[in-house]
Formats: sequence, C-alpha cells, structure tokens
Amino acid sequence: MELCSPASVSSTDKVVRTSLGRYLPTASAGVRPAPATELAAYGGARLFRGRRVLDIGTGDGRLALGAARWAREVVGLDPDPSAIKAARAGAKRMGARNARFVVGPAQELPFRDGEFDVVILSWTL
Amino acid sequence: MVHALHEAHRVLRTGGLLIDARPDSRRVAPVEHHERGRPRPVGTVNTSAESRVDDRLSDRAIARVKREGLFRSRRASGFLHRVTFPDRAGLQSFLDDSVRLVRRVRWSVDAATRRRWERDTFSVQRPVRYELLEKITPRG
Repeated sequence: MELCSPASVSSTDKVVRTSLGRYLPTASAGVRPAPATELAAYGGARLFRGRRVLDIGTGDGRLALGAARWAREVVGLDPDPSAIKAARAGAKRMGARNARFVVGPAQELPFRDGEFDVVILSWTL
Repeated sequence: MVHALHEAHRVLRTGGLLIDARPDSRRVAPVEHHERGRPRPVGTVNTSAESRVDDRLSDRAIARVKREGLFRSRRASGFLHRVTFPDRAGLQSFLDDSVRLVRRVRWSVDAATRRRWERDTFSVQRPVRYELLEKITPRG
C-alpha cells in the first residue's frame, strides 16, 4: 500500500471552541476528511457518475450527499434514527432529490440483489 | 463484519465496487507544530491497542471475502488527513476525547520547547487507507 504525499491529497479541518471551552472538530469534519477529499481519493466523478450508490453507516450523510452530485441515486443507511434524521435534513437543505436515507443494520440490508453499482463502507468496518 | 460484507456483496451487481476506507492504524500519526504557517513534525501519536485489535479484525474480514472469491482488489492506497488545533490545549483535548488515538504524544522536542509553544498552532496528520474491491462472482 502506498501513501499519497500530503500535498497531493490532504484536507485541513478547523477545530472550534465549544461553549464548554473545549476544542472540538466542526461536526464530524475534524475527525473525518472532508467529503470532497475522500471521494476524490476513491475516484471522484469518474467513479460515481450515473451510478447507484449505497453508503453503509452513513451517519449524518456527509459522504452520501457528496456523492449525490454525480450519482444517479444515492442511498444512505445507518442504524441510528437520529443520524438518519440529520441526513434527511441535509438532503433537503442541499436539494439532493436523488438521495434517500434509511434506518437499518448493515447485517440485513433492505435492498434487492444487485441493486447497486458502488457500496461505500467508510469508517464502518 | 463478514456478515455485513456478504450483504454488501449481495446488493452489488457483478463488477460493482465496494469501497473500504478506514484510519490506518498500522502507521503512526505525525504531530506537527506550525511556525509561520509551515507545519513541522515534532512528535507522533499511536492508535490505541483496542482500535488496533478492531482494525485487525476488519482486515481479516476483508481477507476472508477475498479468499471466498467474492471480491478482488482493484486498487489500494491512502492519504493523510490533517486535523488542526489553535493551541496545544486543543490538541490535548482532542486526544483526550479520541476513541481511536492514545492520549499521549511521543514528542521529539523537550518540555521547555513545548511550554514555549503552548499557544501555537498544532496539527495531527492522520493516515487514512482505502481499498476498492470488485465483486467478481455471485455468492453460491
């Protein structure tokens, strides 16, 4: 496995001070690379354009919504209903009509055989 | 984990891609001090033992589905993700809250230097690894 140089693919996320006086990453961006960085590393538009994409363990949908600008359809799945609620709100805010979010476990996917072209397991396994 | 991978395999079309991405616990994360906007390595931080065990289990699950002939590796690589902190307290607070990283930095500079840098910007370069796996056969 080869590691890219920091200059080629690297993201810098700012950390903000919370009301409790502690420093926390802005949402999940601080502990996770920016969606654009992550998706570009995997193949970006070339990989996702026109595809049906499933993001397992989608959380607040940050990666799924990043892929939605290229994909034909994106489905985000997470066992946490509050995360899915946040993801749906994000999709509405972004006007991502090709994105939908479903509550469910990774071990029993509520989808048909062969329904997707790309499945993402990012920070999930 | 293997069950989840089998499910991912089921919902993928043949030739479809599974992307497995995770922090790379096999590599230490460099800690950097920023001077005039330029980051310079001044230490390292390791992944916690518990997370390393979890990551090895994930590696084994991926290895198993490859062995089963369900997927083959198309590409494996990685990148560095820089998390920046306004001062040393911010860095320490992040490590205290982190479930993946250990709390102590292994510094390559002495304590007096670190005290002088108390209010300077620091960052951690977290290695991230990923693999693109192609579904090659339907599961029998």
